[in-house]
Amino acid sequence: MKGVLEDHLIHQCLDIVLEPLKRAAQVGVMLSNPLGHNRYCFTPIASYIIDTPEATMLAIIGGKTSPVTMAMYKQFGDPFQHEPCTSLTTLAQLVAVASKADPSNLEAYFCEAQKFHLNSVHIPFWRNIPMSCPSRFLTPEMLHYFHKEFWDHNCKWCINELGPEEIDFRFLVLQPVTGFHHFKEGISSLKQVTGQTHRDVQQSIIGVIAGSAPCNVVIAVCALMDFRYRVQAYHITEKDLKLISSALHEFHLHKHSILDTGLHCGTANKPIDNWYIPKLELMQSVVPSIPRVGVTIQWSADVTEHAHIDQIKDPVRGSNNHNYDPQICRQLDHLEKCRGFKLAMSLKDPELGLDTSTGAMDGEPGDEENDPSVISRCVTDYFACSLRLASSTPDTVPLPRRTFSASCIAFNLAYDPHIRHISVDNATKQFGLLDLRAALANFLSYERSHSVDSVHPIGGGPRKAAENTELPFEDIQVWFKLCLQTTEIHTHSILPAQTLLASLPEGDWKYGCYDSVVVNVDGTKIWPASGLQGLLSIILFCISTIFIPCLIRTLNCTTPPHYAALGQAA
Amino acid sequence: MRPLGKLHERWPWADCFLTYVQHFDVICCKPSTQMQVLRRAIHSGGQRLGEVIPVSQIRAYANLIPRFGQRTDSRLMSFNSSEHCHKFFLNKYFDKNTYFSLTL
Repeated sequence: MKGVLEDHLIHQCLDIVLEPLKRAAQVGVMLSNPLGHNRYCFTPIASYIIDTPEATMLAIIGGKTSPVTMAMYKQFGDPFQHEPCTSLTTLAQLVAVASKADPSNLEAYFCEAQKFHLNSVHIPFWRNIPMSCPSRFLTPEMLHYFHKEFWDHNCKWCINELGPEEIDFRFLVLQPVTGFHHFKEGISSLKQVTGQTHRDVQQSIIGVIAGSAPCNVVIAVCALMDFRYRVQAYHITEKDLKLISSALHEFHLHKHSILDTGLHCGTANKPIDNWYIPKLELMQSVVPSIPRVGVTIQWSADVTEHAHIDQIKDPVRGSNNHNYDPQICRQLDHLEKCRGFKLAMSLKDPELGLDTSTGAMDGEPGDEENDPSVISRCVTDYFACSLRLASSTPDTVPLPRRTFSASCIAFNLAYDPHIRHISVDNATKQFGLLDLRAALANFLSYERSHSVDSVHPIGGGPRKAAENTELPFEDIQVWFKLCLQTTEIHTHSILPAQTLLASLPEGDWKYGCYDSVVVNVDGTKIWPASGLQGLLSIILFCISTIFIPCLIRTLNCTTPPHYAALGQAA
Repeated sequence: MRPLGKLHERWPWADCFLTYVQHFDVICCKPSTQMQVLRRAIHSGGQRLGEVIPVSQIRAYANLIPRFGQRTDSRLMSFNSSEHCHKFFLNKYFDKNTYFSLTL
């Protein structure tokens, strides 16, 4: 009964808090748009970002029943969407319940409400907000619908299929990628993992299981993965919606193989032979929701989940672990006052105000401290850097330019090379690249016969140059790291740079550490629109070294020799 | 070291980084996962196929996952897996951008 009263309380609170919005939804309100024009607006609930148990509570649905459709737990695995559980249906059910039991008699009302799978709240907060139906405003949410579903079920199927030791070993064997988690300890024994870890595991699990798990299991897991990735897009078209539905359909076609092989296990690793998974049913409501309220990724719980850290965990660290609630409140209150004071000071003193604005311009770390909703770290924009460098005259910037861009990608290298100069022969030995000299000669001869800007093709018959060809330079400078920055494929916003390694054999890395890239070898094709089209236009490589040939004078070596040479050449 | 450059001549690589790359062939596309399977390209002599290209021809990072068979070779480590494995999956699930670029 305590839980029932809690639910009552929440609905009553929401009723009070949302009163102004309810009025605005009913009769409208004048609001100014970004251009300053007044608009007559209505405020129905578009989305309520929330976890599944809380969603059922808000929809005043009892346990084991979907909050957005009429499906009960036995129908959670059905390959179609059940009839939506609209506000009209629920309100009609409430009337029916009220006619049989008095809401003030909690126990009798609870028993009666349960017959309709309701949770016995008799005044839902959304009852008098026009155009606001729980089946619509309880929007699908990435973290709870997809990432947790993956971790709780798909990932467990994969672990059960391969066995924990084998799957842990496979994750261990993968070459680490800079900036991403490398699961040295494996994945089978991880506890208390975050949404980020869910995504890190999703990254490689398909590749890890693809060779050995039964074909149908791989197809089912893969289909759900496709579903997850496609739903996370920032732009979704009709065609994408069809692909999303067909991915989900594909899963339902093949899901029986997961039960057949006994991979779906419950506690104590006993196989389960049913699909009573609420999140599986919720997936059915993703496709209908997108045309109604827009792409799913915008209703992310990241901000609200992160608030738990800002508003609860951080203040707790400053406390003495007694009387949490008053201490947290007092600290938040202090912070609020400090912010107010700072703002007042900056308004009063224009110089101080100027200071904060220029500080924010430099790298914008200040912004993040003030705004707790900004979670992402600030990203260096190499595209802007490269444009600045490209537009400045060659004499004013050190050549070669360390930051440059080509079509949809920007590159950045450290100012100092990792090896200042090394002869081609030495590089051949140290990197173990026997054909380096021949490859260079090949490159030069192509460069001579074509324009400097032409795209270098790959392969094309036996190499003409011999291993001992004379080159117009003897030394090279070598970089071990290269930063690649790309833009988001739909929104064209800048993504954090990815660091690629191409380093010498050293320590445990007996063969060196090389990352792989997609290279354009056909000037007529444009990545990413081309995909791996024709498979000849774009070929994959592992980068073995990044270098630049340098001219060196043996005489007059007062300045670093290669700069003198390059300066004159330019 | 030999002073080889003719200093008054225009030097075309003054503003160009080069890279030595080794080539992978796409051998097939696994039907169950729709992921490309790659193998290192080799010369008829067994030597790996390497080329020198300008860095500006690079288009994207590619994540490779060794194609494990039924059981994994216990001698593999994260340090040597990219060297000793013969076939790789081109991992389209590496991130959303890779996924959308490779599934167009």
